[in-house]
Amino acid sequence: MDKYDIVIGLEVHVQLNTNSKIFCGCSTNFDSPPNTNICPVCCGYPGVLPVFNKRALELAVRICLALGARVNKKIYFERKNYFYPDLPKNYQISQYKMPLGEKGSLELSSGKKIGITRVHLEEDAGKLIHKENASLVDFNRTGTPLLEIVSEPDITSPEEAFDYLTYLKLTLQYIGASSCDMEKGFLRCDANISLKNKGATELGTKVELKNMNSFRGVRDALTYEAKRQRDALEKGEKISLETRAFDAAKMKTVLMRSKEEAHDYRYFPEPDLLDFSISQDILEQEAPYIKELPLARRKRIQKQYGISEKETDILISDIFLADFFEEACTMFAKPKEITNWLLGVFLEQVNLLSEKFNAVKMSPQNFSKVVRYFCENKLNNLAAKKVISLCIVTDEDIDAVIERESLAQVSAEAALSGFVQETINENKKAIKEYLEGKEQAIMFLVGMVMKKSKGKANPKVVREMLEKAIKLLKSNEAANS
Amino acid sequence: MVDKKTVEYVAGLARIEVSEEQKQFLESQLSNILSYIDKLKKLDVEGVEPLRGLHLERNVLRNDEVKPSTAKEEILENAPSRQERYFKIPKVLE
Repeated sequence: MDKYDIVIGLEVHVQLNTNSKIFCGCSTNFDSPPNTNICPVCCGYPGVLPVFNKRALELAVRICLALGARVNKKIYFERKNYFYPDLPKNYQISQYKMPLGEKGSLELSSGKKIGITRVHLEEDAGKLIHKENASLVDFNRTGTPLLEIVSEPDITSPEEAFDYLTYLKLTLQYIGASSCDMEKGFLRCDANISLKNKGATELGTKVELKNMNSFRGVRDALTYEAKRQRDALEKGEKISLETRAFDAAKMKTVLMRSKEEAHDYRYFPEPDLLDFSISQDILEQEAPYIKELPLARRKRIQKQYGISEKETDILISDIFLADFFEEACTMFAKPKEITNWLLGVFLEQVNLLSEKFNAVKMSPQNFSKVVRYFCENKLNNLAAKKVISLCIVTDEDIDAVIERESLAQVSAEAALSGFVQETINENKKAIKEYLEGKEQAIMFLVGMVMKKSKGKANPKVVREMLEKAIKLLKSNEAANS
Repeated sequence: MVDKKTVEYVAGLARIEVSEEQKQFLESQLSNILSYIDKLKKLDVEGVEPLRGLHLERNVLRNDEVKPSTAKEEILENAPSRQERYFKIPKVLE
């Protein structure tokens, strides 16, 4: 992209974490059977009145604060009019002239700040399922509170767009405003992209991209589109103002609609809802939730616990993990050991669970206890792994599990000497190899003792005992010959 | 003021079919309405805040509580066409 600068702006919709819809009491539960969370309000029956959900407003204000956006003192809703089968009212209640928040920014790990143009509240539309000969409509999602977050065209590469989305998602998860689960459609992203001559101030014609279902999809679509536009410009062609859809299977963008077919939404103030004033009280109430945002936490964790940047990035990638880590560290102050076990065995176990972190029952206290027992030689590596795998979805008492499964590590030489002697007697060949300088042979012998002890022996102690015994054997043989 | 093309455009946005006869009628009717609006536009409203409603009450909010819908089956029964619990419509693509 030597000759051109890429200019990208992102439009993100997130579902706010509420129990009920934005203007009625219907549930926002994602898993309900189709068309069970519907009522005359969200289906736009005549004569009904929408009433604004307080928590939706609070969460939206919280997001504005996290993005450093100016919160307007007075807001109101408008009707965005268009006909589409996923919209039962034929208009969407949204914000236009007076959005909730304006002029914020999001800092990336590179330190670069991406401007936020506006943040506004609106209601979601329903879901369409396309079948062979018909389309099916489910209005459960209709009226779910959404927040639209529009960035400035400050993003200069598909990678940076990926970073922006990653940190936006983390930020919203950290402040508890949205789960941002992209698979469930709780976070959706459209992108605008154009190219301009390097260093030029005048922007090129922008193309809107839709239909990206993952952050990777956004990155891939932008990469493809930047190349398509560059190739066209190189051939002397003009870029036309249009909307294109990303086809993830073919990894390309295809024309959806041109400017001539652009919508005419005829916005006007929603007469069924009054104005809302955003008081100082609500700002103060939400402020504590944005105390430490992901980037700040990343810096602090790395410094405070002295762990690597890569490890820190994994720890902060989910607030569950970051909280779990820090709590475990308060119980057992060996952050490096906690990190190793958390990012190793623990994550391995979590990845086997379909509900991932949501399914984890093990408490940080119990987890730190396992790590401590390992460090204190009360559990060996295998046994500690086993305890974690047994307790991850139960949070049983660790000591009880160790007792029941008889996993306690045996370090007492008296208890192990029998196994060591047996092993020495049964493996003359390995001992000979070891004596001839083959270092690994000792590991084989350690393994044999471990097997005899049913995995409970302390391998370090076993190794020392074996080395001692072999030494003795050698000196005895020397004395005899 | 409002020509035939505008009537057709507005009818298109509203997804309604309008006959030639109706178009003529609507053309003059919509023009009348707009000329009235034009009169209003001449008023000096400098410094007057736009009024969006007659109620002065602000911040009518409800708590985030789920109230199970009692009308969901009736709403579904109103569907001209159904498939199981879905509203069934002609295939749309976009």
